[in-house]
Amino acid sequence: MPLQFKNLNVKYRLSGAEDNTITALNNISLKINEGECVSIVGESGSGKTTLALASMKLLSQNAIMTGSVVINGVDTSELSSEEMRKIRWNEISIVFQNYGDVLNPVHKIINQVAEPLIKNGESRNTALDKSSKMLDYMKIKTGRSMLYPHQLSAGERQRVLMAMALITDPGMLVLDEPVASVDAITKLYLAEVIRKQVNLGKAVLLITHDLSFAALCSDYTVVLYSGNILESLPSEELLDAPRHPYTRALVRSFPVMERAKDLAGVRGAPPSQTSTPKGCIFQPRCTQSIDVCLERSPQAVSTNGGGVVVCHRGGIATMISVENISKSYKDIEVLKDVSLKLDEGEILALVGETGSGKTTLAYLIAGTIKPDGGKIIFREKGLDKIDRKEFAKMVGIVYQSPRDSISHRFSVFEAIAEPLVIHNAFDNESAGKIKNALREVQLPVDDYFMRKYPHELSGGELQRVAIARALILEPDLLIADEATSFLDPSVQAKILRLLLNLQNERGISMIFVTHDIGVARKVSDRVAVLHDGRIVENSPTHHIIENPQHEYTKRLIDAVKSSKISDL
Amino acid sequence: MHIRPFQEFKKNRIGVTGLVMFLLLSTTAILAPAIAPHDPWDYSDRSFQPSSMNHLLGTNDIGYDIFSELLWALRTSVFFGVSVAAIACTIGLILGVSAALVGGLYDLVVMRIVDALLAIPSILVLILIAAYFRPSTMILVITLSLIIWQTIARGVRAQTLSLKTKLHIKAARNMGASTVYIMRKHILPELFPLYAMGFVTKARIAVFMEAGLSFLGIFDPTTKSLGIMMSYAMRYLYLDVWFNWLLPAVLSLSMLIVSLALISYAIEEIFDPRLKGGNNAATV
Repeated sequence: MPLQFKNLNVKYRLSGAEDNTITALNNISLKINEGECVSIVGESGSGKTTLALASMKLLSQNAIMTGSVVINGVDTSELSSEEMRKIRWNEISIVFQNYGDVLNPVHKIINQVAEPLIKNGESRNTALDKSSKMLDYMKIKTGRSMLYPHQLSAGERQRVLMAMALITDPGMLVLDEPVASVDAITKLYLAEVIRKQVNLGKAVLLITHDLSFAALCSDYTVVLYSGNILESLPSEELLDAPRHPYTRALVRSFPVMERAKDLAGVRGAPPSQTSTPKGCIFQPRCTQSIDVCLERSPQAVSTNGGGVVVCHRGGIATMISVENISKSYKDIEVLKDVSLKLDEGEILALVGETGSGKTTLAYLIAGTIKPDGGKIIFREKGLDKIDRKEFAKMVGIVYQSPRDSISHRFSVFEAIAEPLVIHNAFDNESAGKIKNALREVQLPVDDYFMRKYPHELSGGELQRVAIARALILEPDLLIADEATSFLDPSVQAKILRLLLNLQNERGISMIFVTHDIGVARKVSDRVAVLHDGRIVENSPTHHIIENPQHEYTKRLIDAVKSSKISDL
Repeated sequence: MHIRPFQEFKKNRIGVTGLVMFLLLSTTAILAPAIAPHDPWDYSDRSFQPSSMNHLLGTNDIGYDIFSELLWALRTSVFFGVSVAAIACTIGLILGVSAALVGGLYDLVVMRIVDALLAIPSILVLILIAAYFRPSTMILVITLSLIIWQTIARGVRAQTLSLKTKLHIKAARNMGASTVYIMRKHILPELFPLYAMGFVTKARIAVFMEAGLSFLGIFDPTTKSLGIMMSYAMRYLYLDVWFNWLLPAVLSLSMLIVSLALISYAIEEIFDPRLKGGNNAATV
């Protein structure tokens, strides 16, 4: 077992009182085997670098560490600094985050790379020889190895650091943000180098905020949040099937080439590290928290994907599952044996041509029509067992045509207040709530505007009013039924952006019914393609777009892409 | 299309004229007990007196003050018209809306009753009932209401059926709204033009019928009525009483009916902008 962290806690003492500390790492236990690469991902300040420094016993003076770091069976906390120095570079080496000042500015890089070897007692010439070869291997052009650090580009400096770490051929590598400042081609090359080292039997701890690099290089990915491990999972699942809401939020924030969906940051801000909350540390930013999340911190649970997730709800929970549902209108079979799952906080697009049954499916899920067969489960409870009015409170619907969906007799204020009135929730605070809702959808909040009638508003404004109305009861599920197809492209773009922002801020689940797969591509996490009342394909959006499996999906995408009409 | 009926009505000259006439006549009618100078059921002077300061329109064949009689007769007409309209509209509205919302067998039964009533000439039924049973005014009001609500019910049902499929009503239902809420907030306001129209039309019919039947002498003869006044005045036309006896009664009745007709004309124009002269596009 080359590298192991056992119940590692690190606090930094701040100036002033003795107990004035911030928690950097909280009870971290982690193993890295030979021939294995584990990546640590998380936002800035999550404790990634502290972990790297702790592994090298390089923590600063004001750090208080408990627990242990075990290297090749030796607990480093018991070693003297002299003994530790021997282990460093020979058994474990680190590539520091490249800030430009980690290299000595007064020495040529070839000498700096050779330095560990010389210290180990190798002759200067062999050391320089090896160093030159290593720099070659790291694709530093011959000749440039004689330069000083400031004469190199950031990418080159990064490779020099990598060369320094590899020159002594240690069994363990700690890489702290090795690709933060390099271009895509260098990044790919470094990934190859890392993979090669792993295959040679090295244990690699890769610290990065680059999720696709983590997915590319590592075997396992550990998600660190404010010093706590929230999830660890096989890296190939990182981008497509994260289990923890935080991991999903990170993935949504991260630009990946093939994804067209707009990026969204993780809502809220990381917690203050000076105090530990009673419940789950991620709770304030979590989109699916329940009562218990406020009270107790969660335990790690194994997932069926081979990972571990630290969450009371066992990771991202399923909000709605539709099981073998069918629906007919008189003789016409609209839906045949449809099954579908919708996770908490997920955006699902139902795509298909007109008459494919997508709207019927959406309204079945909304509970406004009843299925002929099969069942719908909402948060582990059958939909038929939930009070209709109670359920209506949890579902907001935005309709295709705002002109028709809002009564022409209602002013803007009355229209948004309607759900409150229906659920007897209209009280003194409602006016403030309505103003907030208007602000959220970026409409004016003055009395003059709130007294306007639908015929005095534009289609885009009216659809915003409809969105505000759908969100006023703070629903858990928002159904947008062709919500933008009546609008012109500019207004559509604004409304889509608005919906996405609201979804991200509130963490609600969304079903986006659209015939336009181009729109679905921009907004959804997952696409379900409906054809003749059946779901013919249901996968992450970028998979469907890049690699459609079903004939019908291919036709649908080709139809959108095609720029000319075939000869008749 | 959004219409603010009251603002539109204020701008409509025909409607305002009708309303002012109607309000004037009905105020007079309401105030009849206070402003009538004499008891219309008791003789106050010799018969066939010409107009004077004491008897503005003179006296009739048995010495009753004609002006006081006229005020009380107008009161009967307005009361009759308004009550019949109110009852008929209420019945029509309730049955029409419920038939549309409930549907099924109930709808079928209600609509067959409507069909049946449409086929029966209401004036004939009323003549028969009045002639045979000699009922009181109140009973007649109810009888007439019961046989003329059908057109309102039919219109209301048709309108409600079309409203039912409107997206904003579906949206309210999807928000969890109850049927009562939907009726109150979404359907009844939309039906306002229908029952405003219905009310005025039915009031007009009722006023006319009451006058007609009492003219024919099949109403309670002790009730003061414009029809009875006309019928008596006709008998003494050779005495040259048409100016102070017949004409006031005829004019009052005509004004009442014309005022209602003007109001209904205005309402129809407001709610159906196609009827409006000039720039049609302005109403969209």
